[in-house]
Amino acid sequence: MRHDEPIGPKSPLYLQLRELIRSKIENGEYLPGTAIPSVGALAETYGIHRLSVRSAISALIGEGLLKSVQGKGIFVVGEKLAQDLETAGGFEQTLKESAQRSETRLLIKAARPAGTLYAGRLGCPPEEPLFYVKRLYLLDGEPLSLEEAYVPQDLVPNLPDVDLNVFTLHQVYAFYGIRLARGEQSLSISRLDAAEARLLDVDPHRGVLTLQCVNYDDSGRAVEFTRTHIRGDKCELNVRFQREV
Amino acid sequence: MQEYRPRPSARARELLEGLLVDYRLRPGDRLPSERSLSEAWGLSRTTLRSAVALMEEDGRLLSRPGSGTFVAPEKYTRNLQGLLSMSQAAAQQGRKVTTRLLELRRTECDKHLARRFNQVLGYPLYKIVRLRSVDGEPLMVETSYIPARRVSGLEDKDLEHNSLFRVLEEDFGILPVQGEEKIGITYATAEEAELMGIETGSPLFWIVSMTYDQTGELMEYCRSAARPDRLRITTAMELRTEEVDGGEA
Repeated sequence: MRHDEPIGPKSPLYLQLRELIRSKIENGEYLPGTAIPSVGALAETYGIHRLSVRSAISALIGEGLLKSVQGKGIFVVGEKLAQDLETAGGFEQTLKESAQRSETRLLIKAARPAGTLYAGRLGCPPEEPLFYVKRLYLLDGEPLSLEEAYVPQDLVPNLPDVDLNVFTLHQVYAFYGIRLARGEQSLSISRLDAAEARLLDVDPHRGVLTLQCVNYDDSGRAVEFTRTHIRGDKCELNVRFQREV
Repeated sequence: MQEYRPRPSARARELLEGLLVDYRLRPGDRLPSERSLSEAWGLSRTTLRSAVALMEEDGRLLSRPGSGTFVAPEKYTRNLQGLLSMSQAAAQQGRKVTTRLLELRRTECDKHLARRFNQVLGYPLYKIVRLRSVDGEPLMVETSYIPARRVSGLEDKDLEHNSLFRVLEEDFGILPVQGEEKIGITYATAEEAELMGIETGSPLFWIVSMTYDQTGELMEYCRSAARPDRLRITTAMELRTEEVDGGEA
């Protein structure tokens, strides 16, 4: 959906602002995954009414270029937001009890070299710079799973500016036009060390389900290695399979 | 952006796992001594020892008192796609499955089983309990239920030397077509512990599988308790993503 007629000095102010924000997204001044200035700030900068700012923004939200997050701000989506419509063959988490409220807590977002272990998992050199993201998922305030992700920095260079409480990593990949095509998953039961057991609020000797995945894009490059420790008392993993024809 | 500084315990674990990646060390190889690793990595011996202990419990390393720490044998890998029988899958990995038949008898659906099979209470089933071992090491206790009317005379078949699915296919014309598995954690009962040579209360995989045949009927309902230090469960996943917008997808 594009503007039908050229925007000029005589065009309504909200249309001028709409096109200004669009061009700032296109030229990279407003980066995908980051918040644009607030309605008040934009109104003040350009000396226009807040209602005009709101109309400009809601038009862009309607186009899918921006996303409004309650209490957080207006975020740039850039590339159209991709959604995982279907996964075939992978593990799915099934909760043992239904929950009302889910919540993600970002624990660590940092840079690190791949090192031997993750170089092996991702098929990159050990000195490859990675982003390391560690998040805790809670349901109704109780810890459910602890996820760590290792992602080559060159794939998602502006990850440090993205609010991972708002966007999932899969959405960030979509910002960069990365399409996950397939994954290899491996499930084991492991014992956590004392610090991680405390985070998940489990007895370290009881063991947790540990799901490790390497996900690849459509060109076959490894995009992420993830390790998710899941509480076995809260969740089961489910897989469907079918005879290959 | 900050540089990640792992806690010593996490670092020890990562470095130890790194030794096993890409077969730098192979199953059966001995790890360098605790002292040399602690010097090379700048980690305390206590930290290193607890990381080794966790990896031992997970079945990645083995300690033999007096002779050192070794890389554990590769776990048996069960891939959930493909519907291979356990013996076929093991053969592909160069391993041998042995089966001990613990129980084979006719039984009746209780409330729970009746719901699974979509039948009334008392619907006749065969119950088959088997201890499966890989290369002579106990791996899991499997309890299968099969509708009796489809497999009459099952008790005359040799289920210790033939795969159950092969018997179902060749002798009864029942072909597995699709299914579903649920995997969680359970803790070994005294009986399971004794059969599998572990301690009561050790965490085990709890695998519930439902397999449907060519007619769409539930042909087998199976519950297994498996040793996680000897089993790894894998699957491949395909992700289909689609753009979310108003236009053509």
